[in-house]
Amino acid sequence: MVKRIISAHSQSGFTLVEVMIAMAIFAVYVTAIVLTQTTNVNDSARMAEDLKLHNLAELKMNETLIADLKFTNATENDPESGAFEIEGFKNYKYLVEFKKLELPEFEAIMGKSEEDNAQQEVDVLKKTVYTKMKKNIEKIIWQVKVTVTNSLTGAKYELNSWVNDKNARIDTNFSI
Amino acid sequence: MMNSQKYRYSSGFTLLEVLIALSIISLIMLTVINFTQSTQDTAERVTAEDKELLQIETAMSRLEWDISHIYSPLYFSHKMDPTQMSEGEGVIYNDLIQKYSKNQRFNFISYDALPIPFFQNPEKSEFIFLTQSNRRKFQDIKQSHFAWIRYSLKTDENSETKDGNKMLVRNVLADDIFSDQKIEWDDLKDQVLMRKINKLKFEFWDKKNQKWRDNLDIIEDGKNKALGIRITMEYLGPDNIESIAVRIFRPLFPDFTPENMYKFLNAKPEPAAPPAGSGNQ
Repeated sequence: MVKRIISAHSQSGFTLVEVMIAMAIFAVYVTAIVLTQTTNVNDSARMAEDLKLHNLAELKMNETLIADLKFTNATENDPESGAFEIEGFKNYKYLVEFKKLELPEFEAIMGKSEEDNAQQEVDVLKKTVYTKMKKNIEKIIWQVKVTVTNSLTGAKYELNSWVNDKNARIDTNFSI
Repeated sequence: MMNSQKYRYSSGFTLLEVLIALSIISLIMLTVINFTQSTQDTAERVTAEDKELLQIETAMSRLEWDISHIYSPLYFSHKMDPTQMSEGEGVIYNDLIQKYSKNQRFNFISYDALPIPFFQNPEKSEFIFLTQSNRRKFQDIKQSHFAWIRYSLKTDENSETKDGNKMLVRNVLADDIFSDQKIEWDDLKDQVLMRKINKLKFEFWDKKNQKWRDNLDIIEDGKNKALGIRITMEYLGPDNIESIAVRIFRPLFPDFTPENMYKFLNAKPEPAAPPAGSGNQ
């Protein structure tokens, strides 16, 4: 018996190529399985995290839009930050930034006209009206950006919107 | 062993070799099956968890849609004011207001004579309001985009445990919305939006005090106009883990304080008409 096994062993095994092909096939199979499994779990976790971040950002944004905010010139350099105080979301931080809306100057939109005087007069009129509107719009509308960060993983979510200054008084005197 | 003439020199496998081969194959097969099985299990578990996770998103987006379309004439107009009316108008007003005093759904009239609905939250977990979010499903049906909607918590009959035995229910009344009769909510069909809920709380934005309140009565015009609604829900998430969801929803109507129209109406005629665009904002 022993003799026979030894003799069988010494006869012929698989060649190196055969073994390698078999191993390669097996490896491809195993990697495929492991990959699908991890992507399943990862995708699900990422979706859950994304939803959380999105919902928190939306919550903060709606809170900002509903509240009567006082806008001053300092508002722009004074971002509001803090952590959420909801159970289970305490490691999420928010940052609310405000920025003044800036409309381009009249020349930047229309270009400089070098035509006859009549045209230039019309342009002066247009420019006056535009500048007035620009000033009014810039007074009323502010840009707001909410950034929510998970302080444990560093995952971030950003949401942008407009907010209007409810206390702004616009200038309706359009006389030139 | 095999001693046929043709294969005289070739030998077959011994029993032992076959057995070893078999056991190796079976081992490999076992691991492979194991792998496949666990992959499938994870996929199923993840899908089930995602479904539960998405359940709350679906319920909340329903709420958001309804609340964003919340309707009241007070968003663009103001209440009728008898003190600023002429005598003839006052008579009509008295007639109207008597009708509205008995109305179970609309309790006042706006400046442009539109009925103003009143929102109710008889319980902290209940909110009744008029919305424009209704979409007609059949042609020529007597419905508009208006509907009365109630969100409330009900006990889930199918729940086996006491923990998380409530469900979020939506009722809609889209027919005959301007009737003055009380709405019989219990006769309406229940739409279950979510199960496994422990607690639900509606809060309303009090603009005057810049605070959230859970009682509409103490908010100025709170029963006729909602500016923001905060919803806090305690529920059992995937794997029955206790979770909290807090959302804030806004109506699509902007927060706008209308100009007092009587000021223009009662203004003595002057050579120059008052400019229409002199309002704020």
